Formats: sequence, C-alpha cells, structure tokens
Amino acid sequence: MKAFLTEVKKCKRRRLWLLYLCAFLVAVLWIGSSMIRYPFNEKEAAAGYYMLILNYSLMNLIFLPVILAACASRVCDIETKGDTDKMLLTMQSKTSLFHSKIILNGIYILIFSAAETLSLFLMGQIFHATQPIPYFQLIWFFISTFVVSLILYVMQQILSLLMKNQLMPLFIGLMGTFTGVFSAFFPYTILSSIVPWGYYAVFNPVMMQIGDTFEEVSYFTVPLPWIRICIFLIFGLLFYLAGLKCYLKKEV
Amino acid sequence: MNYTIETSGLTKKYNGHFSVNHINLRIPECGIYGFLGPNGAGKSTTMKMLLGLVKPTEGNVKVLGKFLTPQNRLSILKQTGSLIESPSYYAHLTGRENLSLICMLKQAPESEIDRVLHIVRLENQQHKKTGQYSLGMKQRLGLAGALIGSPRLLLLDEPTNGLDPAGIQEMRDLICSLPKQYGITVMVSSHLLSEIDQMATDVGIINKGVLIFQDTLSALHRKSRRQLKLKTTDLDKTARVLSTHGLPVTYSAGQRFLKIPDEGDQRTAAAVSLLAKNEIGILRVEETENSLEEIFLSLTGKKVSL
Repeated sequence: MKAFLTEVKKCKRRRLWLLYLCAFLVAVLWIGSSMIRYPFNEKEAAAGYYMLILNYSLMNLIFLPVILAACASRVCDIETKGDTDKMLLTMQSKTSLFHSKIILNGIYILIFSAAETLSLFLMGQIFHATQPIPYFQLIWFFISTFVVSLILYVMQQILSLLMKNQLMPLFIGLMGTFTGVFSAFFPYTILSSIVPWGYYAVFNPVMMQIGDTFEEVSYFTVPLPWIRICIFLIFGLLFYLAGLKCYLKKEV
Repeated sequence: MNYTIETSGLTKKYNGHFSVNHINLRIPECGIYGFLGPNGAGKSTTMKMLLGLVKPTEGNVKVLGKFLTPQNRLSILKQTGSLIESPSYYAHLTGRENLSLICMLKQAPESEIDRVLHIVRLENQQHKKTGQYSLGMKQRLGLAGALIGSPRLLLLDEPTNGLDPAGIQEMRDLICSLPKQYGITVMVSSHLLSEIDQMATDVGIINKGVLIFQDTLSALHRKSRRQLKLKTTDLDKTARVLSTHGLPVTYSAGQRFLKIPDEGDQRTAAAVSLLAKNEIGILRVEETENSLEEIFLSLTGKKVSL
C-alpha cells in the first residue's frame, strides 16, 4: 500500500490522467461528431449499439496503444531521468516498485474503460438507438477494453523499464498501432493473431458487412474466438513473468 | 571493537573480470571510514553490494550485526541512509516533496523533513522544483534524504563530486559533524586523498578491486617514513660530506633541498655538527612526512588521479 501511495505522490504534476482523458475525449468527440453529421437512419438505429461498439473498438485500436506507451514511458521515465533506482531500492523491493506502477495505471485503465462503456451507452440513448440494450456486448466491451489495455500497458512498462532510451518503447508502441490497425483488416488470419496491439478488434464480437452496392451495411455478432483470446491471455501472462524476471535481474 | 559493517571475501565478477576481489572490510562504529581508491577501483560496486543493490559473486556482508540476505535486506537498510554516485531525485517535484516520498517509504514522520532540511541548510529552497536546483543543492538534498529516519549508518559515495570549493568545505564539515552530533557511522568514498585525510578516522584503500590497506588514519600516517629536509649554502658539498659519513642523501624535486632519513635527535645533531665543521652554512633543517599521495604510490605502485 505504501509503495502504491508513493507512486501516486511521485506522479504528481505528471498529468497521467490527462493522457487517458485525451484518449477518451478523442473517441467521444470523434464518434459524437460523426453521429451529429450522419444520424442513425431507421435501419442503423435498429443496430445502433453494435455500430457504436464497432466504432469505439476502432478508436481504441487506433489511439490506445500509443497512449498506453506514453503513459508507461511517463511513469518509468521519472526513475530513469532521476537515477532513482539506487535510492528507491534501498527502501522498497523491485517487485513492489514494478507492481505499484501497474496498479496505478491499472486503475486509470479501469476508469477509462468504465467511462468509455458509459459514454457508449449514453451515445446510444442520445442518438436514439432503437436496438434493445445489448447488455452482454456492453459488459464484454468494458472487460475487453480493460484486459487488452492492461496487457498492452504491462508490455510497454516492461519495455520502458528495461530500456534506457524511452524513445524506443514509444516507437514500438507507435509501430504496434500501425500493425494493429492493419491486422484488423485481415480478420481470421495469422497476422491478426500475432499482433497484440490488434486484439481490440479480435475481442470485439460485433462484425460489419458491406453490401455489394456499398450502400447497405449490416451489423451482426459473431461467436468470440476463445482459443485466440486464451492464447493472448497466456501470452500476456508469460510476457509479464518474463519481463518481471528480466527487471529483477537487471542490476542497479 | 564493534564493527558496523563487516564483509568477508566480498567479490564481484563481471564477465570473468574481478571488479571487487575478496575484500574484508571492517568499519568501526561511530567513526568516519574513508574508502579511498582511484577511479574504477571498485568503490561504488563495493558500496552497492553493501546495500544489496548488486549481488555479490562470492562472500557475505554483515551490516549492523546482521548478515545481509535478500529477505532481511530492507529491514536492515531501514537503519541506513545512502547517497550513491550522483544524487537521485524527481525533477518535477519540489525538494520537500522528494523528501516526503522518502519519509513515506521509510515510514518516518513528516517532521523529519524539517529536521534534515535544517541540517543540510536547504530550508529556503524546499519549495523549489529539484529540476531547478544546482548540483550542490541536489547533493545536499541527497544527503538530506539519506539522513531521514535518523540512520545509524550512512554510505556516501563521492559526495563532494561536482561541488564548488565552498560546497566541498560545507559538505565536509557536515559529514565530520555527523558521528559526534548524531552518533552515525559514516562510510565515505573518494578518489581524493586530501579529502579523506581531512574527514576520516579510519581508512580503507582499494585498488583494482583489492583492499590494499585498512586501518586508522593515524596508522596510515605512521606508514609514512619521516625525513629531514636540509637547506644549506652548498648542497653539493653537503651531499658529498654526508655521503662519505654513511648518510644516504637524496635531492628534492627541483634540487632545492636535500633529504636525509630521520634517525633520531643524536644522529641529527651529529650531522649538523659535521656540516658546521666542514664550513657549510645551515639555512634550514625541517622534519617532513610522506604525503598521502606518496604513501598511496608506495602501496599501489601507481600514481593516483587527484
């Protein structure tokens, strides 16, 4: 607990919340403005929540990996820049330092995911979606946003803690965004399975189909790819364990 | 004698190369232990091993009477303070906020902040962001952080690095006052012989990872061979006369003086009367000791960086 409270104190004036707020506002404003310009027609309103879930997932896919890389870099950079390891590690263990950073950002990610899910629901209400509220998909959207973001954050934190130059993890996060977005256009291929940054799309149960005339768009749900999801979770766990081991081995 | 730190066979190898080679430190309680050695001798690595920041390849460390293990490391280190290499700080936080973080981690009361700020005389800059501090102020903040929680042991690795002469003097006075005023044992490393000479009560000299000397500062000075420095009206004639009477004579650098070994008052009186008999005017007879630099050179066979 004291390690976590210290972490909170350390991040004073680092405005971590601002990065998450920016990601949230960009998603809400982008989707909100497009809804104002192109409100639901009758057919779209009947699948309104599905359409919103798909749009929010796309926004997360585009913005969150970079935001998470920036957040990880900001919390790890203060240690690298201030050369604080040799001071901190005489007062706390490496594992507590490692985990307190994850918990702090985990809380931000949790709040962000909840806020996004709530805004998605409100957006459906405000723009008169006639579709019955798909509770399962909304809860799943919340869980998947939280889980994927947390795993990506842990990956970025490990990279930031192990690399002295913070530009490298940021660059990896940026490249991850590109490959993630790219992989989303090739669902059910090996590419979409091996790119962790693209898992916002893999976790999404809603699909979109464009008709032959490009005028008709239909939204529907597909069964969740549990095997790929499990592999991703195992990958996240292994990355965490390996990363923690490397971090513990790293000498001051 | 009680020792605050004891090590036995402490060793650190990097890629098969000894950075620290089987050293047995004995740091007595309530003194200032000067840890002396040229750059790259293994001082920082040793100090990091004493704090458990670097895992020794071999050997063990006993701090405050307990063997340091990964399990009890943090509880032992609660009673220590350290400043290793450059000071650690969060540039976006004020000096006071930085110290508050240390208070939290050491579970010390916030009132400690005012106490240590007063000791290092940083009260007026406490609300300034540390990113705007000068190097001297950062060093003092680092020392303040190390003093939080009234530690029994303080490890300071080159604490005067980068300070101006006034800052060095201030830091030196501060370190010297710690054992007397607060009963703290201080281990301070430096590559500057003069600095250790002015602060330490005990000395350990490390070179190429090997501890080549360890004793009190006075014992180190006793190692110094005393000599007599002679200045006469005719140095060459003096050298000839003394040599023929079996006294080994050496010229000083610049050949302004002659040096003869100090073998007691009677031998000195005999040498002086011998010179007077040979009509050599004696201008000065002075007792000298080897400087620490010369002692170090004799111990290591290597000229040290100053």
